[in-house]
Parts: sequence; C-alpha cells; structure tokens
Amino acid sequence: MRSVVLYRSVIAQEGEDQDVTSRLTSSKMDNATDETNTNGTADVSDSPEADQDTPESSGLPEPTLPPKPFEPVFTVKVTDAAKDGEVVKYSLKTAKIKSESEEYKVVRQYEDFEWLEHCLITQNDIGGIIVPPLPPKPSTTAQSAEARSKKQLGNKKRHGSDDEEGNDIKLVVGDEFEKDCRSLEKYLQLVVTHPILGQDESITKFLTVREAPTRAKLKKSIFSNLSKSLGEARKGGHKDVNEFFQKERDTVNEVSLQMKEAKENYMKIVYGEQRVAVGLSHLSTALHLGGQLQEGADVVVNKLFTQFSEGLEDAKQGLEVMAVNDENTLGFSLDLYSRYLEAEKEMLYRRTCKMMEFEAATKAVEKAKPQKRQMAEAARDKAEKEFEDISKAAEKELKNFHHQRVLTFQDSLVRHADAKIKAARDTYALLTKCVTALKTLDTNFKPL
Amino acid sequence: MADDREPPPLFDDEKPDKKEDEDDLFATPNEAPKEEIKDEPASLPTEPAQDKASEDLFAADDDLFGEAVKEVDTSKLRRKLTEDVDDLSPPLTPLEEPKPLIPTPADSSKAPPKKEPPKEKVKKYSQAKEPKPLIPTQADSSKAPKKDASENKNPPPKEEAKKKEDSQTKEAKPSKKEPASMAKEQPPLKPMKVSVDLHPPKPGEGEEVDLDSPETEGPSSPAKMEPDSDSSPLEAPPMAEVLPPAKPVIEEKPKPTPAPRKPSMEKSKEEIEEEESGDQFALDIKVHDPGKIGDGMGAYMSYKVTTQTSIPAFRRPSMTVTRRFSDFLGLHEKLSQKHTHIGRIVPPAPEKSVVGMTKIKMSKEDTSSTEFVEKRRALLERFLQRISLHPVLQMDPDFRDFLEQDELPRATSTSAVSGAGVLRLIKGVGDTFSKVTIKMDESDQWFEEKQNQVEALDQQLKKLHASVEALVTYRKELGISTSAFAKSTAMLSNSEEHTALSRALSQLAEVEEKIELVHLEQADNDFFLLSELLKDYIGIIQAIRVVFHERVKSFHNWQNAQQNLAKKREQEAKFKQTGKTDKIAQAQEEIREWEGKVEKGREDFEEISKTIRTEIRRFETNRVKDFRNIIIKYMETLMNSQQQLIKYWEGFLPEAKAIA
Repeated sequence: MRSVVLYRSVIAQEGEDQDVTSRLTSSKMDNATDETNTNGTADVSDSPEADQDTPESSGLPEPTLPPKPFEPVFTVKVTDAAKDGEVVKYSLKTAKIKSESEEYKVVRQYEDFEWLEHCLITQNDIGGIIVPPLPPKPSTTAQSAEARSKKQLGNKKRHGSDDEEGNDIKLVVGDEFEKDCRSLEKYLQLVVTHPILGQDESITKFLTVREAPTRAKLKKSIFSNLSKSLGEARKGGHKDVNEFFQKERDTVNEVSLQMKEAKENYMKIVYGEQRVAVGLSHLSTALHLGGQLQEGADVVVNKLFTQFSEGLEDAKQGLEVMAVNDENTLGFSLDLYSRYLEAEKEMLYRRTCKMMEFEAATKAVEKAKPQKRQMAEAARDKAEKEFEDISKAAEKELKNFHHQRVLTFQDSLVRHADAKIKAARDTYALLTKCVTALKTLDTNFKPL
Repeated sequence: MADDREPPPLFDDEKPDKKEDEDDLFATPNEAPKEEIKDEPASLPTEPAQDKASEDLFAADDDLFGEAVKEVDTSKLRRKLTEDVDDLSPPLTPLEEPKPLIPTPADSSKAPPKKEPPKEKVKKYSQAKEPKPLIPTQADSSKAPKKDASENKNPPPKEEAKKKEDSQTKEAKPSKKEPASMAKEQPPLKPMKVSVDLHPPKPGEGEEVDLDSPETEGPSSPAKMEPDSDSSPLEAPPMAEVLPPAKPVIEEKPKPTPAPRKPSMEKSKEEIEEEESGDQFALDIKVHDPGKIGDGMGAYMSYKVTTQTSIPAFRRPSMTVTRRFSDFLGLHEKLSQKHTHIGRIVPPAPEKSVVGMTKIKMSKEDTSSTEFVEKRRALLERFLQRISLHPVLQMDPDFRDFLEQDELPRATSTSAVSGAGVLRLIKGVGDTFSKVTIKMDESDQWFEEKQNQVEALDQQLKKLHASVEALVTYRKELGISTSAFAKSTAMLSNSEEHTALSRALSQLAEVEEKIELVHLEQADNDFFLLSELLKDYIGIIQAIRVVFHERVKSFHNWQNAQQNLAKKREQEAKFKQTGKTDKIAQAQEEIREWEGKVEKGREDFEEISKTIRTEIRRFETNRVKDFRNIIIKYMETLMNSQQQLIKYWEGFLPEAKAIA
C-alpha cells in the first residue's frame, strides 16, 4: 500500500501533480465563490480591460451569470526538451480536460514563453493579480553550465582528486533540461489554472496552435527594472490605509527575503549531498584502483575492498537520489515561492501605486479651485474606484495565493519527508546486504 | 614416542577449534558464531544479483538527468532492491532486522562447492612455493628424522578429527582440510620445512628451558608443538608465525621477572603458546581520561592507561597507570632499539603535534583542542593495542613496565628529541634505504616481491587516505549547510502566519538540526575509522621499510665479512708463496676469526630474514583482520546514519501531513 503511494511512476507522479493543482484550484475557487457571493461582484468584472483586449476569448463567462467555480480548460505537460543547435526546444502536450480525446502537441522555446508572459501581462488587467513568475532563462551554453557546476561542486581543487574533477562535474550536473521542463510546466499549470489568466486567448493559442506565435523581440531594459525597484523602495514605506494590506506588505517583504535565503541554503545542502556523493565515488574508485596486487593477503584485501567499494557506491547512490529528490520536492517549492513572493510583492506595489494615486487625487480635490473641482472629483472618483477594484481583486487573490501556498508546502514537505525516508530505507537495505556480504566473505588466505 | 603420539591428535583436535573461535572473535567481535553461519548462505544468492543490481544502478544513473528526474530514481533503487532481496520488499523490514539471512537448504548445499576452489588454489600455491625457503641446509637436523616419523603418524587421526569437524561447521573449511591433504602430498617437502622450523627452538627454547626449569614439560612440549605447526604452517598462519617468535619471549623472561613467577610460566608454557598463537586479547588496554597537568608552556597532557590481562607475567590482572605523551614515545624508542635491528616491526610512534599541543598549553578550551585530544587519545590507545597484539612485543619487559609501573623513569632522550624529529629521521632512513636495496643483489625472490608489494600498498593507502580526507571535508561542509538551512527554516517558521505550517517548519528546523549532527557524526566516523586506520597502516609500512633496511644492513655486514675473509685468505696464500712462515700462523688466526664473523653474519642475516618473513606474515594477517573489521564497522555506521535519517523523517512526516 505504502509502496503504491511512494513509488509511483513518472506518469502517476505527474498525474498526482495535476490532481494536486486541480484540487488546489477547486478549493481556491470555492473561496472565490464565497467572496464573490458576498461581494455580489462577478469574477471578470474586476478586469474590464481584459474584456476589451480580448473580446474574442470565447470561454469568458457572462458577467451577469452567477459565477461558477473556475474550471481550467487544459492540462499541460512539458514532456521533453531537446537541444536544437543553440536553442532548447520544449515539447508540450496539452489535453482538454472536458474532452480528453483532444490533445495538442506543440514545440516551444524559451522565447515563446517570454512572449506568452508579455501577452498575459499586457492583455489583462493584472493590477490585482499575482502573475505566476516565469522561471529564469535556463543557461544552455557550455560556459554557463561549467560555471554552475563549479558553484555546485566547489571551486576548490581537492587534494588527490584533481585529475578526475572534470569528469565528475559532468557526472553530477549533466544537462538540466529536466529541471527546466518541470519549472516551465509548473509555470504553465499556474497560468492555466488561474481564474483570469487561464481564460486568456494567448495561453490557449500558445498551447494549441502548432505554429509558434511571431516573436517580437522583447526589450526588457535594465532601466525599467531598476526604476521599478527604486520606486518600490520609495513607495514601499508608504503607510497603507488598510491594515490587512499593511500587514501583508510588511510580511511579504520579510518572508520573501527569508524564502530566498532558505532556498539558497537548501540548495547548498543539495550541492553538499552531491559533493559527498562525489567524495564517496572517489573513494570507491580508489578502492578499485588498488586491485592489481594479486598475491597473498592482497587477494583477500582486494575482495574486501571490492565489496566495500560496492557498499560505498550504494551509499553514494542513495545520496544522489536524496539530492535529486530534495531538489524536486522542497527545493522546487522553495524556488517557486522565492519567485512567487516577488510576484506578490509586485502586485502589492501596483496596488500601493493606485492607492497613492487615489490619495493624490483626493488632495487635488481639496486644493482644486471651484471651476476645476468637478473634474478633480471625477478624477478622484475614478482613482477611488480603481483602487477599490484593485484592492478587492488583490484581497481575493492573496487569500487564494496563501491558501495555495500552504497546500503546496504541505505537499512538498510530505513528499520531501517521504522521499527521504524511502531513500534512506533503500540505502539501508543495500548497506545491510553489503555488510552481510562482507561478513561472510572468506578472509582465509595463504601467506606468501 | 608412543606417549608422545597420543597427545598430538588430541591437541590438534582442540587447536583448530580454538583458532577458529578466535578468528571469529576477530572477525566479528560482537557476534556469536551462530549468526555467522546463518549469514553465510545469504551471500550466495546475492552474488549474481549484485551484478544485475549494479547494472540497474548504472541505468538509474543515466536516468538521473536523462528523462525522469522526479522520484523515479528512488523507484529504481527500489527495483534494484526487490530484484536482489525479495525478503526486503516491505521497506520497513530492513530497519528492524536484516532478514535475508535465513538459510535455505539449497543454499547450504551450494556453500561447500563455493569454498572449494580457493582451497585448491592455495594448495597448489603452497606446493609451488614450499621448496623455496631461504635457509637452505640445516643439516644438523638430528631431530628431523624423528619429527618426520611422528608426523607421518599424525595425519590419520587428525584427518578424522578434521572431517568430523567439517561436518559440523562449514567455516574455515580450507584451513581444515588442507593439513590432511598436504600431509599426504608433501612428504618430500617435509624435511626441509622441519629443519627450518626446528632450528630456532634448539638454541633458544630447548636450552633455556632446560636451564631455567627442571620441569619435564619443557623439552617435550616443543616437540609436541612442532609437528603440529610443521604439518600446517601454511594453512594456519597464526600458528606458524607465532611459534618461532615465542622463543625470544622465553629468553627474555628470566632476566626481568623475579624468581617466584617463573615456574608458573614454565609450567604453562603450552598455555602461553596457545595464548600467543591466538588469544591475543589477553591484553586489553584502554587509554582514557586525558587531563592537562600544569600551566603555561610547561603544561602537558596525561593519560590513564588501564590494562586488563590474563597473562601471568603481569603482577595483577588489572592495573591503571598515568602516562604522558613522551612516555609513549620513550616506549617506542626502547622497543625499536631492541627489536627493529633483528627484523621486528615495531608499531610506529604517535606523531607529536606542536600546533595541537600549543593550543592545549594556551589552555584554550575550544572544540578543536578537544578534538585534538580525543584524536591523540585514540592514537595512543591504538599504538598500545598494536604492541599488545604482537606475540613478542607483548612480552617485552619495557612494555610491561610501561603498563605496570607506577613511576616510570622519565624518558629524557625522547622528551629532548621531538617525536616529529624522530619520525623524520626514520623517514629519512626509509627513503634512502630503498636506493641501497637496489644495490643489494637480491637473492631472495620473496623479499623482492614483498618489497614491491609493500611499495604498491603504500601508494594505494596514501591515495585512499587522500580520498577519505576529502570525504571528511565534504561531509563537514554538508553539516554546515544543513545547520544554515535549519536556521533559515526557523526564521521562516517565525514569520509564517499559518499556524500549522509554522509549526511544521519549526519541526523541520529541528529535524535539520538533528541531521546536522548525523552528518557530523558520520564525518567523525569517516575520520576515526577509515582515515586513522589508513594513516596507521601508512605508518606501519614505514616501519616495515625500516626493517627491510635492517636486513640490507645485515646483508652488507655479512658480505663485508666475506670480503675480508677472502682478503685474509689471499694474504695467507701470499705468505705461503713467499714463504713467510712466521706470519702464516697469525693469518690463519685471522682467517679463523673472520670465518667466525662470516658465519655470524650469515646467521644474523638468515635470522633477520626469517624474522621478517614471520613479521610480514603477521602483518598481513592483521591487515586483513583490521581492514575487515574496520570496513564492517564503518559500513555499520553508514547504516546507523541511514537509520537515524529514517527515524527523524518519520517523526516529521505526521507534522507535514497535519498542515492542512
């Protein structure tokens, strides 16, 4: 029974992932429903601009209808990645949830994802939305891979292992497409299951149309980022009118830092495990190297060493498995949320900006001369409405976000612990076998 | 003779039995022999499966980054397991008890054939090598024929006994069956062998015993022992190697030990020899309670040395003395002065550490100095234990004094010379001698092979040592990272608003802290078991080199004497030719003198060669035992680490599940 849960295959695992996310979504939407019922506002009314920008989106529910829980239209899997020249191409497999027979297979590259993100941001009113963070562009060049390896395995050349160093880097790090696939898959899942973004036309196109959308070269200037962060720093301290948001803003600043630190430290553990695995492997190799002496006690000692080296290989294997699982369970969540929290911060910042606009408009009304008063009041009312809209949307989004966050962490912690237990048990069993073999090894020999 | 013939079979009956028990003792200190037998068959089914398993492992390796990274890897490991050991399939079982040990009838029937091949190989080997022994003609073997006769009569009962035992225990089969077959196949070789082994007891044992104790046991006991050891010198290494050295023990005994104890010693001669032949744990030495004495730069560490022994030469069965580091160096100095030049391998002296000691002197109570003290304590303990395991050194009066005497004369010479200096000196000798050796025309292939082997071993051990050191560093780093993550998690837990998640995170922090300790503990095990073992052996190899060097020196002495003799003879011939009759007498006198020296040189050289052979054999037996024990122990620490991981994560799992 346990083994069924623990040792499911990839597919089952991914299915499970899907289950988790859809479960998350449905529960999230339950909340959303409650919200909307009490507020009497429909989902999409928060994003009137989205309506205008994507009038052709057919899946849009009528604003007048009572809101029903959001059902994601697709399930997405990034099944494979292959290097085509300099470009890594990702194979996506999409199925419609309602009619399973409908399957789409498309090939995309990272720039397409960037374009998708761009479309999602520009074509929707993302004011109160925490936009799922697109994972950073994976490094594909040899140099960057080498740099990364060095970071993981330690730059220091260790005594006695200099010559083999190069080989082991390859051995341990290898191509990380798999990890990128998982990150991108998670990104797409987050988008697809998002009540607003999930209904966007561009995601549908992205997933179903064979031809990749024409890619406009996106100019993400450093300056815009810089000015944004400057602004954040300047406006971040602005006092909030709403206690809920004030608290949220305070915590998110703190937590996002802590999350990043935790993620980094966690990755250090993973690298550390890999490094110990490398150490074990070196030792195991060294034990084999001595195997040329074929006389007297050496025969027996070599037998011992061979068995011992097998045991060390087992231990090494166990550690590597642990490292991989660590990275895929808790490490993945920590990584995701260290980015996701940034997205939350950005959303809060957008709201803070609106709030300040509203405050400025209010002040303007007070200062306005009588003849301009009406105009100022209109501006204020508009700002107020915008601010209220964004706050409302943000509040809902935040609740979902945190709910989902807790569920995600629960899931990853459980899987993390499970994987640890399993790997440790398996390693233990292998070691037991090895010790038994060692104990029964015939150590009689004829001295020369 | 008829009387004599009765005991030997009896003796034989017991002997292998004893030896075996002892072997087991060494092999698995904490295990009853019963279990051992149970274990045996288990290796059989696993053997073939292992290959498959390793293939799977490779496959898993490829997959690691190839396609399915999720948790598939564990499932792969898992698959490997299920293929190998079906009993393990519920992953819980391995934790509580290693199951796959239940022998099946099929297994036990398979067991004997598996053990047979090595035996045959060994046999062939022994035939091939047997005729070689260095010492060519000990024609004075007046005893030899007698021995021969007694030997030829010995085998049959022995064989029976052996067979009976065989049916009972499957273990150590090769060693038991061989004597029988060898006795049959090798009669022509026997005389040679006998003469080799008989030679020493004659001057040493026989005479001394007769002198010192009028007891009748004395002379007859070597006679009893000898056939036994002769008929099975090769298949029973501990016996063969222990017997000859036993002779000096008795030489030395009369000198330091006062009269009252002597008779008992002599009476229990057989006992002693038995003890020495295997019961080496008669001396149990512990070094403990390191303590700082004095202040400032005059401060030093003292250690308590507690000995428990069944060796009657000691005044009490149990004693505790206080010793300081330089006393240990002094002991080493004394022992190597006495034993190295006759070819005995004295365990290397512990190295003096200026840095570590200075820290102690500065009275810094930090972790690095406690680590240093513990390291050194363990080192000293191993040093004493190694001496105590040596059948001759064990009985050395200086060693006994070291363990027994309340006050030890201060070892001034060594406290003046730093340990490191002494070591460097020895190292220097070791390095230069290898060049000398090349010059020496090695007449003995055995030594040539051994020297190459020892050099190769040295290389191998040094490589392994470097690998282990790196491993220790990596593990410590992992420990540090784990602790850093534990701190981050604790902080996350503090700012987490969701109560259950916050609690789970703080639990996680605790778990990670515990795991940090697991890593550090494992790093200690890496160090104290593997690294120190390798370092010890690198040191012992150094001592072996020194001994080899002593042999070369002895050879040169002999050669020099021969050259001088040749010169003197030439001189004499010249005198004869030239008719200087007056000088002839003097020349002949000188020739006689040099003839004596040549003879002495030859004897010395043969003696040291023989001792070294025995010593090397002992070294190899111990090497196998040591490595086997340590490897098993180390693997068990790895298992223990895994077990702790399982425990901690299982404790955490419900917390994680309770989050939402």
